[in-house]
Amino acid sequence: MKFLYVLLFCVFATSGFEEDLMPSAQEILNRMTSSFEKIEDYVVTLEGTIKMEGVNVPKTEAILFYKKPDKIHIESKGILFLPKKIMAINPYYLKRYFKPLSIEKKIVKEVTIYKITLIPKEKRLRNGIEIWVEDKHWSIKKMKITRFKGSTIMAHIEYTMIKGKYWLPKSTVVELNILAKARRPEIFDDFGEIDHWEEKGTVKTKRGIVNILFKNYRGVNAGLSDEVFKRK
Amino acid sequence: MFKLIHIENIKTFYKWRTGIGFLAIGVLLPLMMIGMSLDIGHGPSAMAVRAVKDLSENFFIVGSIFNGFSAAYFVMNSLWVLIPFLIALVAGDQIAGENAAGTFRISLIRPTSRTQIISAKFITTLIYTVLLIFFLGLLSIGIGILLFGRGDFLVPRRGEILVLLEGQTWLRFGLAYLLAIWAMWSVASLAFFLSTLAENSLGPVIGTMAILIASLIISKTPLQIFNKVKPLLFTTYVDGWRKAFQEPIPWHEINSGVLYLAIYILGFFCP
Repeated sequence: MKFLYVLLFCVFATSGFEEDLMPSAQEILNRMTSSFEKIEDYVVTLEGTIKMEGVNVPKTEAILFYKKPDKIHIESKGILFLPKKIMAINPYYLKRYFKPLSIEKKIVKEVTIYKITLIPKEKRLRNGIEIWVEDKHWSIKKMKITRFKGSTIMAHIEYTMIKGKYWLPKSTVVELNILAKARRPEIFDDFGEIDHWEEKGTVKTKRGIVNILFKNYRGVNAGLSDEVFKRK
Repeated sequence: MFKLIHIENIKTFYKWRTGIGFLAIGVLLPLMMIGMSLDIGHGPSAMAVRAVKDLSENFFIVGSIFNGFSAAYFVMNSLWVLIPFLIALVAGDQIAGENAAGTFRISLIRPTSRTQIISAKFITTLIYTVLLIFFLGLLSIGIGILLFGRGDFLVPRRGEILVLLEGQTWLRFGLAYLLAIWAMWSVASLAFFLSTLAENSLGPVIGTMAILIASLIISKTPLQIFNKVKPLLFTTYVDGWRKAFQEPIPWHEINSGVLYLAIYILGFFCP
């Protein structure tokens, strides 16, 4: 009997204990921000390729300048197409505009991954975001953005250690499933008109893959001047 | 023969009428380029922005989508009426002008054959065409790069986005100008042919423009009734230079166009 009580106690205590160990979604966002806070600024060379129907663009290089919290400047001699939503990988952006809705935990190849669903704080944003965060460096491994009318953008991010202490992106693969010529419903909200595009239902889906390599990090936390971000 | 061509070149290039073409391009082109640079956000640069509008909703577009190459491409598209007129002005004057001046009587009593004289004049016309297109290309790309810089070239195409690397763009423009020269040789040949039928140079110039515009209308109008006639018209192939900016380059179509135009060039010259 005593043994039964001990067994029952272990079963219930373990399940509760496990829940206590699992951080909340907000805590994870805070840990992500803390981890990201170590990075003040950096300069990196981007190499981008895009494979998309109706788009024929060669591999192009650009230089990206970043300064905390959200200053970005990109220079390129050629023409480079960078997915806009890649900017959402910045935890400051997520904390500022989104709030967590739910959290799930998975263990993949001995690495704990937290899947967090985020919803926008402001109604006008209309993006739903799911992020997969690993618990070693609290970095985003995967991100899925769902926009209005079902467009989705999925980003897979790999990281590397720079100078033995900075955990920064090494490569990103962005899979796009976007609607061509999709109308923004906000335009019609103010006037209460029928959205003719919705009525017709003839919007086409475009699929594409964008590969971005982050090469040759330099000047990490070297004190980048604000003048760089004023350049055209 | 070379001496004859040299003499014909001197005769042609010393006429003020020949300078009109270079003067017109030399004045109009810089004005267009300056106008484009002052009108950034409208006109051709706005067209470049519209071409990538669909993508700009989901992508940051880094780099200059409108540069010197874009301006040169726009200029090539715009001057398709003026250039044939400037060529016809000189080509139409080759035989008819000399006929009106009465100098044929003097040149034909010399030992050189009629065929040699006509061939020399025809070659001079072709040389003038090459120099005019070369001048257009040099000026449009030169001033374009000076005002708008260089870089990768976003080819303005409907429903498709094509970016050519700078190195590739130079080669493509080279090919485009060569094809443009070949196309303008057909116009020059037509004007030269009409020049042999007229007694003054006004007729061949007007005749060339009338035939060119009428043929262009038939070539470009999407009507069933014209479909059988279109392959027979030389104007169906004069915009072959645009194919130099497709990816991949449709060599088969370019070769067919070049062959058809060669038939017209020889056809207009041979009689």
